[in-house]
Amino acid sequence: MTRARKIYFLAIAAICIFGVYGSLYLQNLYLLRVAILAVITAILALSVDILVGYTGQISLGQAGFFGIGAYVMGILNTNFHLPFWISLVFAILFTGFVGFVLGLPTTKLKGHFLGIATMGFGVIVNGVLNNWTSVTGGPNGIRGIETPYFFSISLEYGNYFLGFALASLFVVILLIFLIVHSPIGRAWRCLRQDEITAYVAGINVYKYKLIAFMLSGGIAGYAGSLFAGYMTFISPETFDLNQSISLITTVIMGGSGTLLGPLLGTAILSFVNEWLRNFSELRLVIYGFILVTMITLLPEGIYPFFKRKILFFFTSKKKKRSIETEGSNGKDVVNE
Amino acid sequence: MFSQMVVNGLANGALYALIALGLTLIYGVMNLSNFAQGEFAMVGAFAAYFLKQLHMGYLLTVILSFAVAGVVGLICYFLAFYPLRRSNPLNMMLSSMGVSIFLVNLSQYIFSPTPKVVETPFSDQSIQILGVYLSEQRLLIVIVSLVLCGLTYWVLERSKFGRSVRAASIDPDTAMLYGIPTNKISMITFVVGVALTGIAGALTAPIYNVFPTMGISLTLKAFVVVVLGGMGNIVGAILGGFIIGLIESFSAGYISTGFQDAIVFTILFLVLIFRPQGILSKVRGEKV
Amino acid sequence: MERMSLMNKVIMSASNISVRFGGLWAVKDVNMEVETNQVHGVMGPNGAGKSTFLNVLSGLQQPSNGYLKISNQKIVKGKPWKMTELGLSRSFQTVRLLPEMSVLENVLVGGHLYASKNPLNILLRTKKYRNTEKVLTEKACDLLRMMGIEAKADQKITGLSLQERRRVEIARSLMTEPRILLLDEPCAGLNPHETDKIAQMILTIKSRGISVILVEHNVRMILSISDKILVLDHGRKIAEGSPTDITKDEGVIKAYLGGAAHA
Repeated sequence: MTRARKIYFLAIAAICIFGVYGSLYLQNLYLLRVAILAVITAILALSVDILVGYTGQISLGQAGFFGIGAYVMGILNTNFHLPFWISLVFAILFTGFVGFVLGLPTTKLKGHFLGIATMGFGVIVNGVLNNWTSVTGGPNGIRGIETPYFFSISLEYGNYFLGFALASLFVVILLIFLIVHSPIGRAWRCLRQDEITAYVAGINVYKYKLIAFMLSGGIAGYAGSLFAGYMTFISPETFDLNQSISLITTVIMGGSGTLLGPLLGTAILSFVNEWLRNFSELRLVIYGFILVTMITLLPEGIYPFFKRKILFFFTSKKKKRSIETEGSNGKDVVNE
Repeated sequence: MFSQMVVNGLANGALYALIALGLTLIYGVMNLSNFAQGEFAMVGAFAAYFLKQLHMGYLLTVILSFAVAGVVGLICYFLAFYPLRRSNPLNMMLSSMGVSIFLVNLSQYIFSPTPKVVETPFSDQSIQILGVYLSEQRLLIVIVSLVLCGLTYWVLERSKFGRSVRAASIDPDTAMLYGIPTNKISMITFVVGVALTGIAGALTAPIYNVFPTMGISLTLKAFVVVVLGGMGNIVGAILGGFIIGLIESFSAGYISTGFQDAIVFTILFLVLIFRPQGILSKVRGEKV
Repeated sequence: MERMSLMNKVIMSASNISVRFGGLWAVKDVNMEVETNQVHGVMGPNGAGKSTFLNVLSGLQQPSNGYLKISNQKIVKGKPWKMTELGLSRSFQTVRLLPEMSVLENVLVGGHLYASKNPLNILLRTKKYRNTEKVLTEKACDLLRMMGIEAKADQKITGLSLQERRRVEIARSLMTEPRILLLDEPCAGLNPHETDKIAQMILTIKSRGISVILVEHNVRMILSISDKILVLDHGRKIAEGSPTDITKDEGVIKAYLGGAAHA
């Protein structure tokens, strides 16, 4: 088991290095742009997954964190002329703090109420970004954000930025992986399935929900800073309710509570989005239709569905062992 | 000034009450937070616009908008919600978001995003009551909303059908054991819930014009109203509609129209923190 | 009785516990003292307020009146997880386990208080972190062995029988290293043979120095293993004493035992 795990790890590490290295050779500028935005979306989707998938909290306001991260970066960088990397640290800390503050009241809420409250958070943030003109520039947004240097490499070149974004994504994946497979992750999964069991196990439910909100906020804030650094221009319309909805859809469609699900969801939706550009005006009509169809046909998510199918395919070969046991072993892999 | 704000607030409130009524009914029976609720107001408004082009009387178009929104609702119900009736409420919620995106953009494709004007025989005449001006159209909105809210309340409380709806909303499984066709009930509730919203759309069309994205802010407001009144609480939704209408009117008058939404949602937060069960409902403890 | 209470220390006491639901007192002025090394039975007919009383003891229900004391520490507003920290753990009548986790993981959840939760340790997977996890896993395995279900450690909960689920739940409770274990009808739905096994297990737990508060409908079982029994009826305490005293008590016979001559 441990040996298989080591091989698994090495394989993933190899894919990561290969991915970052390969990104340097992507020539097509259009594809490069799509890829960078997809990677940023993937980081956001993972931040949503911490709440929706692992902790069982609904977040319909993730664009709020995303926007705050981007604006903290934008304001510190342009108004206060702080370097990118220092602004980045502030952006992460501040969004984490906002996550904490948002969590204080909302950890007491459940289900629909939590959804509406987090949605309200997103709407309030968007309202502030749009109307606090003296600081945020209002609907005109902020221009001229510095694209960072990574040591002496200017990330202004799309290839280098993609490499950096991919490396960030892998770090985020590793971070989430380590936390989810620790007592904190165990506490999350416990309170997601049954809060009363969590009480009895001595888990301070509110504290662990707060941790999830802070972590999720911080990661989304990081994605926001990355976005600001890449685009060099930000405006409130990127961080609206549609963004939040699209993020949670990505996670649910891909398969919540897994690491691969949100990545798969991002890949598919980014592809679908680009493909739909061919339909110009009908684009979002078809998008909405696909969304409804996907959710009604595969409510559990694409990744878990195919995983189950593939495992089932293999179990039918070794008929000696019962499906029940194999099925449960298969599910264990998901948790690991 | 002050009394004018009160009147405007109440007129808008009547509208919110009507939309929130549909939303809260659907939540109560289907356990669905319907994010496409406002879109049915848009459907109703466009129905009114389209039928008006065919030279129908305004009042007739209002009545027909009920039917159009109902039929669109029925189709959406079977395509987007019926397959998920035993699934996680979160999936239903997302499905409703998909419906919302679909409807908004479809109408944008068909009717283009430019706002349309719907003419009404009531629009220009204002009447003065005790020093405040109220256009006849607003008066019509208040009257129709109140009548429809009252009618819905009466049906729910007094009729046999209403009893089945209430039973299905309290406990669908037990209701089914007692021979109540819960699937049919939730279908009817959904259709009626969105059709009422369709009327609301047709009623506002002359005042705020008709455009594809008009439903989004209505959905948000309706949610705030429903939380304020207590999810699934009919009387709460009606009362909450008026309260939000008033708050909005005052914040626009005294603070700024730009922060209107932010203020409404801040109130939502305060309610969620201090009275998550809503202003009217009693606390229901969790069963261990 | 006098001699007994001198020998054993009181580790938990409930004073004048009352719970009101609307106009109804579900529990009214109930006092209870739990001593070390005892099985303390709680009996009563249906609707006597046993479950509510138990929820108060485990912090899931705030009492309208009265308070709890654990090792002389008064609990003002008992958050449920605080009770676990103070050394009280419970099981449920309708078993509460996590269906998406394996048996072993379900037990490991109970070790939360002793796990290494320092973010630095977690992110760096330090030696300290790996050691605590290893120790916890071993402890969980030991408990599963004690419960006789170590063979199913890697299975999902869904494949387990009711009796096995109860054992997993008790193992999880023991994982929190309680000084008091609260068992809510551990034999509900089990056949006589399984009931005997559970009774045996309770005695084993007691021999490990853990006091057990046992709520049970099975009169024969509760009388046979309890050191002391509290009888509730209509939310009030109608009797308390040793099993032999209880069986002779007029009020109890009238309220509860009635025709249960086999007791």
